[in-house]
Amino acid sequence: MYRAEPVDIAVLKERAHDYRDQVERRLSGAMSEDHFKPLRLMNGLYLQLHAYMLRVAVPFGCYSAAQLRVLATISRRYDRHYAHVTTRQNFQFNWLKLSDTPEILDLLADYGLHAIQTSGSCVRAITVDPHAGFGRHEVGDPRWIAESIRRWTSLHPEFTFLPRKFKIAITGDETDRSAFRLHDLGIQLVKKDGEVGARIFAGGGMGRGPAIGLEVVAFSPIRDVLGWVEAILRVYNLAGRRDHLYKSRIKVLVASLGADAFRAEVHQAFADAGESRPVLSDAEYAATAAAFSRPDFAPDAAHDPAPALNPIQAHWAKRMAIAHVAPGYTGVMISLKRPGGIPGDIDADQMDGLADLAEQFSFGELRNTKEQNILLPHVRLRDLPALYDGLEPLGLTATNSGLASDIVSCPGMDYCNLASARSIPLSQVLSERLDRLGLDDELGPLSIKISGCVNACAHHHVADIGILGVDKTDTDYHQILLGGASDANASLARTISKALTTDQTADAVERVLRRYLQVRTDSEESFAACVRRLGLTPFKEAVDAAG
Amino acid sequence: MRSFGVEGAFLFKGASLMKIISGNLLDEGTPVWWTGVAWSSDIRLAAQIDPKAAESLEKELAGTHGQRVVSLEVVPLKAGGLMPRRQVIRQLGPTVRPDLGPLFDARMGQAA
Repeated sequence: MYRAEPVDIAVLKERAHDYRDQVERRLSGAMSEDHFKPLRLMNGLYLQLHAYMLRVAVPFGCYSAAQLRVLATISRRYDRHYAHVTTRQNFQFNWLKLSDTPEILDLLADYGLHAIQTSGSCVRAITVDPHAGFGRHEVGDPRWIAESIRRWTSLHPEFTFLPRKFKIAITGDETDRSAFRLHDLGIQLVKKDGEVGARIFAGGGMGRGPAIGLEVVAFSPIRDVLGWVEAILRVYNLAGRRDHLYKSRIKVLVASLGADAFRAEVHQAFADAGESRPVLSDAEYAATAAAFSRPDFAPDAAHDPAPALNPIQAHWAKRMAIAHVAPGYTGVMISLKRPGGIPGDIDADQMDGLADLAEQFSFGELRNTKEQNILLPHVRLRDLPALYDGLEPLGLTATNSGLASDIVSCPGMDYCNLASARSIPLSQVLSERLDRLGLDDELGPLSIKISGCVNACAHHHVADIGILGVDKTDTDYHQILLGGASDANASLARTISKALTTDQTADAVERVLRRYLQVRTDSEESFAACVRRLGLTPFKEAVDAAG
Repeated sequence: MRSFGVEGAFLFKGASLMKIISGNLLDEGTPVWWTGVAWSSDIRLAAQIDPKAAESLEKELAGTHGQRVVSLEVVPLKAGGLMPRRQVIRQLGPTVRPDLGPLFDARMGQAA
């Protein structure tokens, strides 16, 4: 768990103080909206369909029980008694008043939380593999390098006003759960000759014109990672387009320069920095790593008897427990995807209850995932029955992590100014249908992601079944895409349907799922592997088979 | 799914060419619509504006009312004079949580 130092809190308090002054000047009329808007965006405050929306940064998706409780307090005091987990591991509040936001930011600052750089043309909150620090096959903890980059990029004067937003994802594992290839800058920690270093990608992105990133550096020692980040940012900052909103991401720059030329520019920028290049010294890196406390795992946990789970609990544990590097411990996924529910929403009572359980069973630690779920990283296996009993009254025992009903959905037109269609109603129809049909276990791991527009906030481009909302005659329509992946087999999903209504889409998705069950070689062949083997044709036929 | 048909004064011949102006209250963020004389949180009172005049009116309102209403937008009505559903959602609240829109405000008002 990251331990904020007094200087961290002081910076946040000072920032909240500045922001309070800005809001007061805006409300008094001393500052115009044109001047104020960029300032509020730099503090993560958007104005959406219904009210102000605040995006609270959760660095690397990691937070404490105490932080979750203050978020619950904010939701009750200033919002409408719930919060939303985003696909970038952050929290969002959707119903705020402008005049309350200084108080909110001040309160967040007391707990080491903030909304800095969750909006605007800057380096955004860095996302990380949610198994960081406990995954069994981790080469290195991605949070340490993420925190090093976060410290260096936060409020960095050269990179405060980039051509557009800049998103970074980092994994420490060969099994990528961060989608690092699909980010503006992605890092995978790897080993070479016994040394842990970074493999660095750039130019990936979802949204308009999705792109899989380009490997820019095959192996960088840790000490040079900041130098490479600077080089990539510098090339982008200087050459990225600022004249066209939809052509300003780094992926467009990479495409226009070409892979070799872009890579050469970055390497030249790295070399040109010379002695001014930032270097992450061993001491500094060690100090950053030390800022992350390691739980005091019980040494005798390895000898615990197997937990006494009843059949329902056993089924839940089989799906939701995650292999842990510490003997006798497990990570536990908490799904926010009940049938008919709103993906990623968690109410204030659930937040408080989950905070209590995290304190009791997970050393007070929690993580948000990009699938809009929450993870308890360090649960002693013997505590699984008690944890389940604690989750049940909170309604947090949905047993579908990584399965078809674990649907990712953006807020869509129910909340978002940018959306072309509503996403949540389709997710509700699908999750209820999957629950009724009982297909989850039979289908096995399968991702369905629903975006309400081309901005692709639900990452539909890299889903097994991606769904894109389109506006047709001011009615919800959706296109189905298939075959996306963000892991080592990274691929962009391809469209296999024309625009369909919500009900037509749900029917078509069901036919696609049933077709998969018919054509897969056996239950071990995943949906993704099946699509790679057979191509899109059998599934397109299923979509088109509507009477 | 809920129906968002809008009745009465909105439906008149030739309304498909008309526009409305929407915004958000500066502090509360509440969606509002220009009625012709004031801003209202009741979409039924939104004035239909000649498209030739809409852009200049929006600029004028941004200048004169910018301290109270922000994020002004000129919104075309649909064919037949119907209200675009995005605006109806702004009025009624999220379709998936109708309890969070004006119903929530009404409950809070009652509680107060």
